Amino acid sequence: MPVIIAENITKIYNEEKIPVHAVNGVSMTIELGEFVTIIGPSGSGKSTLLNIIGGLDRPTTGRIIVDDQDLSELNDNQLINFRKKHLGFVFQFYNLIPVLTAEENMEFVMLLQGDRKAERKARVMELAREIGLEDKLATRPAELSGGQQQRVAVARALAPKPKIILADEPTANLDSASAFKLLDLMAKLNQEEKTTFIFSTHDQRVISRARRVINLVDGKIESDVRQD
Amino acid sequence: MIIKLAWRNIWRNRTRSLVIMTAIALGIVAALFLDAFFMGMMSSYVDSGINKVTSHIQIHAPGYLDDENIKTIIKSPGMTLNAIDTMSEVKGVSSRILVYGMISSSRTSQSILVKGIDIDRERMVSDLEPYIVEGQFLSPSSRNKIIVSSRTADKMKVGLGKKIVVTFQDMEGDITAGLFRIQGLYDTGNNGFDEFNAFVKKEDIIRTMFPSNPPEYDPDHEIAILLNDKSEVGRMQYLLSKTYPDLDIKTYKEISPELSLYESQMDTMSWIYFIIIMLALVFGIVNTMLMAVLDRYKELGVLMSVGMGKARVFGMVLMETWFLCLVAAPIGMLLGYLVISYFNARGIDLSGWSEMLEEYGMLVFVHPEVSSASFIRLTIILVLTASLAAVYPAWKAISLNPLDAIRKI
Repeated sequence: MPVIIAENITKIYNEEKIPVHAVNGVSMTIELGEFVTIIGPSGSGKSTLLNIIGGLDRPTTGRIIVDDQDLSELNDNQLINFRKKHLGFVFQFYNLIPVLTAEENMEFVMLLQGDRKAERKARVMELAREIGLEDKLATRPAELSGGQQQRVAVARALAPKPKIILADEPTANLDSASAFKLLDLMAKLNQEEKTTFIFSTHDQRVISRARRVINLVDGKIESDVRQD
Repeated sequence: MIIKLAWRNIWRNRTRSLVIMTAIALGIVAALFLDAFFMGMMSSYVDSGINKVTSHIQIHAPGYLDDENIKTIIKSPGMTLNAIDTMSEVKGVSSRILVYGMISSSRTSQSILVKGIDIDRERMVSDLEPYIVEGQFLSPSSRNKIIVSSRTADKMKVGLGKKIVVTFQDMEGDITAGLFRIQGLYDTGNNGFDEFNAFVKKEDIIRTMFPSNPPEYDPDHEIAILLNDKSEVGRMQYLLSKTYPDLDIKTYKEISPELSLYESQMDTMSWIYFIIIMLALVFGIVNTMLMAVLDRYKELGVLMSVGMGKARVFGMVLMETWFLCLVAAPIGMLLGYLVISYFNARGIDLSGWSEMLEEYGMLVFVHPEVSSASFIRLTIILVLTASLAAVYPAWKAISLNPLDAIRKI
C-alpha cells in the first residue's frame, strides 16, 4: 500500500533571477513500512524533497500525495494539522523544546492531538523503554547528550504513531556508537510498529542499514535500489 | 502544556523578564498613586463641600433655591426636623435661617450670607467649629455674637470683640440691621466659602428679622442632613421626597453641581491616567516579547513543523505576555497599596501651593485614597494592555515560515 506518491515533482528556487532546480522531475512511490534513504551529494535536493514530502515546502510543479491526501489541496493551517496527524519529524539538530523535560517533549505532539493523559503516559513509558532513557524522563534537553537528545526526538516523532517518519540527516551530529544505537532503534520501531522511515543522509552508516536507497543527483533520481 | 510552556518560556531569560516585570510593577504603582492622589484631592474637595456647605441632602421650601427669597420659608420645620432625626441613616440634621445682606465695619462693608444656626444641631452636620482660629464658637449664653472668617475680618479691618453691622431686607421687604460682636474667627482654607459666610445664633437673627412680633415657629429656609453613608444619598432623597412631597429635597450633587462634576471628572481622569501609563508600558512589553519571539524563531518553526497550529502559537505568545503582567501586577498593586496607605496616614503637604489650592476650595494636606474600583479598573486596563502588546509579537510568530525558521542557525 503506497503511503507516498510523488508525481513529477520539481522545485525551482529563485525563479525570477537565476533559477535553481533543487528537485527536477522526481516521481516515486513509497510503500507503508519501508525504510528508505535518500542520498546524494550536498545540493542534490535531498532535504528539499524531504521537506516537500513533509508539507513544509510546496513543489513548483507536480503532485505529492501523502497517505491518500494531495498536499497541494491543503492551505497552511490544514498542512500543520496534516503534519500533526500523519507525519513525524526528526531533525539534524534534534530541535527539542529546551524548557520541557524529555518526557514532556515526547508527549508534546500527542498533547497537540488531544490524546488523554493516561494514553500519553503509557506511550511515553513504552517509548522511553525502547530508547533506553527511562531514567532521564525528568531531564531537560540541555542535560542530555547529543545521542540521547536525538533518541528523545525520535520518540517525540513516534509517540503519536504516525505512518511516516521523515528524518533529515538524523545521525550527522552523532558519534558512531550513538548513531548505531539510534539506527538500531529506528529499525526496530520500523519492524514493530510498521512505521515508514525516510531519511535524507550521506552518512554511510545509515545507507548501509536502509532497505531502499534513492540516489539523487542534481535534483533527479539517478538510482532507486532495494538492498534486502 | 501550552500554559506550562508559556510559563517556562518567560523564565528562559530571567533578567529580561524581571526588567519588564519591574517596569510593569512600577507603572502600576505610579498609576495607582496618581489615581489615589487625585482621588484624595477630589475627596477633600467634595467632603469639605459637603461638611461646610451643602451637607448630603438639603430641604427647602419649593422655589427657595430659585430666588433665595427670605420669605420662602419651610412650614413646620420643627416636626420635619424631629422626624428626620429619628431615621437610622441620618447622622445629623439641622435647620438654618439664611439671610443675604451686607456686613459693615467702620472702615468698609461687603456682601455676606449670614446663617442663623442651632448650635447643637449644627455641630452634627457641619464641621465649622474646628476651624475657629481665634476666639470661640457660638455658645448658648452668647447674645448677638457673630462668627466671621479671618479673611473677612482682615478685609473689613476688624478683629475679635469688634462690632459689625449686618444689614438685610426683612420679611416685610424693609431694610433692617442688627449689631453683632465678633466672637470668633474661622479659617477653613476654602477662600470662596470663607469670604461669603458668617454665622450667628438663630434666635439672634430672628430678633433682627422680627423686632416686634416674633413668629410661632422658626422661619427656617434650609434643613441640612448629614448621612452616615454618602452612597445612601440617592435612596434617602427618594424616601424623603415621598414623605415630604411639598418640600424641595435636593442632594449635594444638585445643590452644588460642581461637586458632582468634579467627582465624575475624576473618574474619567482616573481612566485616562491608567491608559496613558499603560500605553507607555505597551512599548516595553512589545519590545520584550518581540525579542523573546525572535530568540526562539527556530524553535517556533519546529513547533509549527510538528503540528502546533497558528492559533496555539498565537495563544502561547499571548499567554506569555499575560504571565509577565500576572506576576508583576500583584506586586505592583501591593506596593501601590502600601505606598498609598503610608501617605494616606501621613498626608502630603502641599502648603507650597496653598494659595492656589485654597482658591479652589481644596485642602493643602492631601490624603491619597484608593478604592476597589481603581484596582478593578487597573486590572481591566492591564489585561487589555497585555493583550494589545502581545498582538504584534504573536503575529510575527505565526507569520514565520516553519522551513525558513528551522534552517535558521
